[in-house]
Amino acid sequence: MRFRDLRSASSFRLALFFAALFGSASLLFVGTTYTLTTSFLSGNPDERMRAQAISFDARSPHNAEEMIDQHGLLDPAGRRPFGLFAPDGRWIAGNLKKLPNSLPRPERFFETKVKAGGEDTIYRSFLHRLPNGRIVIVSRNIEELAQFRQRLLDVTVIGLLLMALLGIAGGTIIGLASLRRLDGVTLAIESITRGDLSRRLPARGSNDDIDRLVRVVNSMLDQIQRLMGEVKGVCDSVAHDLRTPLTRLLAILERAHRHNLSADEREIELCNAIQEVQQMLRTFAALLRISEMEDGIRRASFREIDLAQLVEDVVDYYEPAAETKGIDLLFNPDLTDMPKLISADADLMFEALGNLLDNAIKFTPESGSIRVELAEGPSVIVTDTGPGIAPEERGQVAIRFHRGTRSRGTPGNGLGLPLVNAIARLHGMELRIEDHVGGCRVALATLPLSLSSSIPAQGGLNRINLASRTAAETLAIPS
Amino acid sequence: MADILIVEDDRATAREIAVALSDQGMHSAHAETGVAAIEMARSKHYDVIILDRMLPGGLNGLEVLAALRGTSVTTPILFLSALSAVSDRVRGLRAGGDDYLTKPFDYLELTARVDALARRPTVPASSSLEVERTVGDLHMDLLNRRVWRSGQEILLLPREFALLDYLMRHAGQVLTRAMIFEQVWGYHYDAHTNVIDVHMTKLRRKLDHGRTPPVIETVRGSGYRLLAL
Repeated sequence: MRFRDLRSASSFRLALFFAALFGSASLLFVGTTYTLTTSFLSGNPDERMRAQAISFDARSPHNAEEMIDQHGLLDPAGRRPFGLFAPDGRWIAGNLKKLPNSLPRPERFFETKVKAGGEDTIYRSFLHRLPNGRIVIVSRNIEELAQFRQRLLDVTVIGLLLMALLGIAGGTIIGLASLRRLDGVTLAIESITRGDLSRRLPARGSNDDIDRLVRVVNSMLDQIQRLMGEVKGVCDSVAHDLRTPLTRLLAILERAHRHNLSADEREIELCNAIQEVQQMLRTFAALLRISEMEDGIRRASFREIDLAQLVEDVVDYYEPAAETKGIDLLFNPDLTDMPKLISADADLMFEALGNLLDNAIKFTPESGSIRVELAEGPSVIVTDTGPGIAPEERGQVAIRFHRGTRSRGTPGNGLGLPLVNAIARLHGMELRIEDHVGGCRVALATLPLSLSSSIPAQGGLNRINLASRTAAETLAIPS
Repeated sequence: MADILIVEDDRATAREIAVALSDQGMHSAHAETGVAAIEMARSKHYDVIILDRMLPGGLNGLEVLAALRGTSVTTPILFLSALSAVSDRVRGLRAGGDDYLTKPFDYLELTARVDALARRPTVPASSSLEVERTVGDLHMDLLNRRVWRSGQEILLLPREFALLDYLMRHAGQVLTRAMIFEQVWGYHYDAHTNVIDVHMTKLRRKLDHGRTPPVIETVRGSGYRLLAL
């Protein structure tokens, strides 16, 4: 498995750290227990031994010898050996016959191990020097206490060993589990990095911290995928929209290349080719303008403009085009008590309204009519007798290159309404598409200040949201 | 013959511009940096300076323009820029530029604009005093806003009058749709300039009305020209 990585796994380290911490705490606990228990167990007998040893001070030497001999007789098993020695260490009385090789310091307890019958016996003794220089040793067998202490030590050591073992094993298991989980996440991320955007990080379904993180990352991936899809859609459309005119261009150039063309014919073909290229350049320019608009940097060129005058100019510009198609283009500049002045970029507003009128003229059947009005807000409403945009497609008008099903067979690059939408947003306005009896109504409406300032000027996602909100609102408006 | 100074750091673009200008019968010189451009513009008279907004080596287009105007060089200047932002365009024109084109541009558009700048009268004061204008058999009364062709009055709508006025002021010059749109309608944007064609057709129909030869010529691929007969 991945034991090499285990050492650096944070969960493994954490487990070991806790094992060590717990071990130290246990050690401290056992140590304290050990000291307290042993001192308690040996404390009382020690006092008695000391009292006994000191009691010989008051006796005559003879009396002391007798007492000690008598004690030896009463203790044939040698559980409490006493001994009396001359100052030079010679044995005088008692069942303890020999001083330890190195004489312990007087008035102190000491422990000695005595081999008797193949078994170690531990004695605890008190050495006391009598006023006459003789030495009294009072002892007792502390085998049980020693055994208890030994047990305690053994238990401690075994416990610590077990704890270390459990700590390492538990740490390994936890560490490996988290490594495995991380491996899953890492694998998923790696495959996403390689381009599989549909992959998601594995979640366990529990609500733990990693799962929460995984969910957040997954929802971020959802958004990225959606945006990428949109970008891809735009790229596909760019590619498609480029290929069509390029194919036409190629056909034109091939025709022009033929030798049997007259100079005039060749000239015509070249002009056609130039027009195709110009159309392509216009498409790119429109794309760039939309992104530029979404950056929101154009507000620098805003001035106070008269909306009524601007609408009149736009209508005036498009009027002959409508007339050629037999369409009535009507404008009623009736703006009696409404504010006409807006802060805007006149060129962009002209472009936006121009695009709306251009669309209206393009889609309104011959001998139809287009009415342009100014309304509260201020807003500009263009009502035509054309087929309109299907409700389910209204959310998509802001998407670049989207061309409605009803626009098949008419020229256009699918950038008109997205551009209008971008310009509208830049001006704190909203593009609304509504049904209307016998036609379609498109409005550029100024949003209330609070609403318009809360809409961010950029972001593809927001753009779609705005568009779909527009569609939803529109559906709610009774027409 | 018009003499043009091209200030452009990209040699390929500069060469293309020079070729396009010489096709229209204009001479050109080339400067790659702002410093060289200032020197050249001071030492010799040019009819128009084509000035790139972005230049290497310290001085950018706006600074070159400021330096030139500071030393009373009044040569008309056409800005070229990769920045299409309207604010940038406005800044360029406010700084004293005479026209502005965004890259990539149509070379016919460029030469038409350069030609218009080169022919522009250096003393524009006289135009305000003009009360009538005559080009060929066209006669225009600017005060009463009336037009005659070969002595016969032609009734024009206000916008048609403005359109013809612009064409007559620049009689003989190629005027692109974008130029016409900018000058007659007073807005700036490149799309839908084909609507100009409809306006032009209407105007032409009124002017030509059964007469020959046609007075407005379509210049294929670029725009229109009022024939200075």
